[in-house]
Amino acid sequence: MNRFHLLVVVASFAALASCTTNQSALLPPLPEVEAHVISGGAPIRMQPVALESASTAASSAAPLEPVRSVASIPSEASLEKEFQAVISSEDVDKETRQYIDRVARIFYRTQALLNDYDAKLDDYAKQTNVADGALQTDDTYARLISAWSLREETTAKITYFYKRANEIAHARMNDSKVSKDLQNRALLMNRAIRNTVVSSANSTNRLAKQNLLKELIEVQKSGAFSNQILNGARETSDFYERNKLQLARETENARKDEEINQEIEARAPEIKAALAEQYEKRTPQSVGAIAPGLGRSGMMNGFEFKTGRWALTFDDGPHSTYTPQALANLKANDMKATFFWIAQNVSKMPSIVKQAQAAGHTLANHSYTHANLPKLGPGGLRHEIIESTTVDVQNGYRPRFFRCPYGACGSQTSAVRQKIADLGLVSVTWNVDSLDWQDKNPQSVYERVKKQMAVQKRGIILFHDIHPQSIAASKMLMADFAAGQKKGIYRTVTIDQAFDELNTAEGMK
Amino acid sequence: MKIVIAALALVLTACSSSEKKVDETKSALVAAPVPAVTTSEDVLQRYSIVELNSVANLMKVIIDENKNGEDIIGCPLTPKEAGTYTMPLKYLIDQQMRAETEAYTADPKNYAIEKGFETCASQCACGVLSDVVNGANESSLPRGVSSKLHPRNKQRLAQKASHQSKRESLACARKQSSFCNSDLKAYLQKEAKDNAD
Repeated sequence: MNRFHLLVVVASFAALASCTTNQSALLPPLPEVEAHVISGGAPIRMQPVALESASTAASSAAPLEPVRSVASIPSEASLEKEFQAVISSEDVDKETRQYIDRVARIFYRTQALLNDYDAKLDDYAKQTNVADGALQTDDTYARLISAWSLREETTAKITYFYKRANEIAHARMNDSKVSKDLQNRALLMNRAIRNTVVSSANSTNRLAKQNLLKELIEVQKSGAFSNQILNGARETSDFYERNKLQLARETENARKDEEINQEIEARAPEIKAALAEQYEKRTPQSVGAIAPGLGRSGMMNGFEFKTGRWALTFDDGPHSTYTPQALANLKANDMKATFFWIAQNVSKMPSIVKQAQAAGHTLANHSYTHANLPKLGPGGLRHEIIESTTVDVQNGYRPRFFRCPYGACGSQTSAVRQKIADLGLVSVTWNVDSLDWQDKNPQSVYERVKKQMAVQKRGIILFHDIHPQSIAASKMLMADFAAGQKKGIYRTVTIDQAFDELNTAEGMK
Repeated sequence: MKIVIAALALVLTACSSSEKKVDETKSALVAAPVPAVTTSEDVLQRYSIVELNSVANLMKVIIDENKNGEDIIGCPLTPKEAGTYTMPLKYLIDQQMRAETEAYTADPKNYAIEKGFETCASQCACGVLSDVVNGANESSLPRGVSSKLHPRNKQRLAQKASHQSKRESLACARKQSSFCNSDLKAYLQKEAKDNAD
């Protein structure tokens, strides 16, 4: 995926986003996310999802930060500071290797992610029933941009170090600012960068290695130092020669790619107009698969987890008696869970909310009053989905996930799913139901969960942190998990962790 | 290149009108025969909280035993199907809960007699009645009740409910043989279908 490709994706995203139904009475405007991904053109600006005003009081709330911010390219001053710290270190070779190894690993990782997103999008586009609103709420796009930006940042760091090391290593003899010692350090550094860049790449990201080497060769060719002196340095010269043919091939390929890019760009305005026309004719419907790691319904239900991964979830709280007990049990077992809480309870129990947050649990939205959402009109949905999210934000967390009360989100084209998607929330259901609301016998609840787990092998377990039997049964289960984790049978995750894992290169394999 | 095509295809697909789908839904509603029970309000008028809870118990047993309904109530009902009925049932029970709690709060003594607190185990209703009693606002209870009768009701019901055995649950489930031809099943089927992924 090159920069132009990304531009098209982002532009498509922007085109879709611009078509969404206007929401009235927005909270104070959100900061725009600037995607620093386009060379030679104006950056695309995306407006993050906004929450509708819940009340007059809510309108005075601080602007919401976007869920994921885009990393910025570091300034030259900060790069120079880092460079000076490394080059003046006692063991410049070791320090350079460590520094570059860390940065290069980020580079390779983000490059691998970008490749996987590309492949996944390919599959995604082949699906026939991709629902409307898919892009507006797509976390993967935010990640894609974030990964791209991070990759740019690491490229900037490595190339800056390489450029500066070259400048110093090949400085003229009469340059009083460059001592022999510094020059030797720079030579060591120069070699360490090249070796580390190559050695930290592995077979799975050969493409990334080539890209990074190309960047370094470009630095050498940039003329920051004379070619004559450059060629005089045997190692650098050898290095360059070894890559010259490859560079020539890539340059030719890049030229061909550019021709295609220009052709695509020439057609873009016409396509964009056609898209806009089609979008005008649409009617709102639900979100589809909003992230590559999820199924076509766009919901997360646990079937997509890796074998042995389990997410403990508690609904309907916080409860003044039982939620603290659940938190204590989780702490005793060194475990994290996900709480889908009702906003009207959240606002009454801020201290429990803080306690759960501080303990690192994932807090998610379960509506305002636990209403049956498909039975509500637009005003009711606004209250249950949007205003409840505002309450969560006011209580210190912005939820990423939503669970419909009674598991009732309506059909795939329902206004409920649309509203959830408009807010950028991911719907989460379950595949192991403890039925703890129907069964007051803790042992029986525990056995039911274990039985279902044996069939499902992975997934999301539903409890309610408002019943004593739920606390007792989940406590028994936590003990099993703690023992199973030591043996490597189980791994408990929060929905946050599971979602992130599913939507990384590793998770999507 | 792939990503460009993917993105454009995605936008094209996503932007395609859903009007057609909405129209199809409307015409399906018009064409389909109107079931005996179509709304939760109808169901709530016809079934008491204890009856709804008995059906929920049946679903629990079918799921736990992983057996077809034919083995328990003599008519087809798969564990998977039962799994889709539990949440709509929970909704119906929750809807009845407030009125039941109000009735209990107004007259705890008579409510206990009427609902059979002492014999609740035979209907597997101790759990749901325990929820009713627990929901009562103690300050609204009649004088004298909050200090004696109410705590005793709470304790007894909770104890009975937490000791409900699998055998008792199965026995209760077997009594629900009329479920398969009921309007409640028709309602639950519709709800499950409306919320299917």
